[in-house]
Amino acid sequence: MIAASRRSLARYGANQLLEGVKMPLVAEKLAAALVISERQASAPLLVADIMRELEDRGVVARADLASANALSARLHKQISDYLKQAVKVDDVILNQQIDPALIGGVRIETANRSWDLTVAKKIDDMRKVF
Amino acid sequence: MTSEILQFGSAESGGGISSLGLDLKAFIFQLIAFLIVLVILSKFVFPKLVKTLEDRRQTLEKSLEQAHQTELTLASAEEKAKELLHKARSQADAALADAKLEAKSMVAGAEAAAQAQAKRILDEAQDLIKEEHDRLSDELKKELAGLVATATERIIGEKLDSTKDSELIGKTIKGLAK
Repeated sequence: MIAASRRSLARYGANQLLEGVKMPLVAEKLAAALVISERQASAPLLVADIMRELEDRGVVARADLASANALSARLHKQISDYLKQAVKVDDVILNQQIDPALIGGVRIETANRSWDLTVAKKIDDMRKVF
Repeated sequence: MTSEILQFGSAESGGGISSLGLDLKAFIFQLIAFLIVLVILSKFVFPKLVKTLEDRRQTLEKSLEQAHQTELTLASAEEKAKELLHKARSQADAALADAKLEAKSMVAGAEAAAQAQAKRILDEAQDLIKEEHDRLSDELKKELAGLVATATERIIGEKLDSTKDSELIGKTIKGLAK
């Protein structure tokens, strides 16, 4: 039996979700496919692939936000509005992480794009210039 | 004949020759004796003597001739020896001149090689110094950049509170949206 590729599984998962199939059911089916083909370790990658599919189709984008301080709701909305415009999706899911090492600013990562607007990045660039 | 001669002598002894104090008999006897001696000498002695003298003369002549030849040979040999010596001297002079030239050129070559090596060593040393200088310069720049970056981090970290950070993020996102 030929195992389905991760990409085709991701497409299948995205289709199922868009057709309105409940997420736990979709997850169960995809988990079974991974177990049969003994690729359990690639589950996080499959999730990222599904998010990429959904983002490519303009449905939803998941953005990982990293900043030195917690962002306010206003800022969340501002970022969400910007991402909807930039990534061309209908909806954005924000995932906040705090990292004091960034000093200031914010880093945004979606499935297909990333923006590093942190002070740490600017200082690092300055170091490289020297 | 002798008795006639004797008779003639005694007939005349009272007059002419005896007035000179000469005895004719004695004179004739002496003359005969002389002639006998002469004949004997001529027959037995003179030829041998002459022959001996002639032989001696010839020997002397030969010796003289040989001596002359020897002189000539010696002169020729001396001449040849002189010539050989002259040749040898010339060759020695030429060899000495060649050797001097070669020695000069060897010394010049060694000097040039030493100079070239000295220059090479100097150039290598200069390259090494430049390399070291560049390396140290780069290291210093990196360290300085690191110090500046660390100082900037600290300063910004201290000065940037959450309110200012939020303002900064807001301005950046606005800038991106434009």
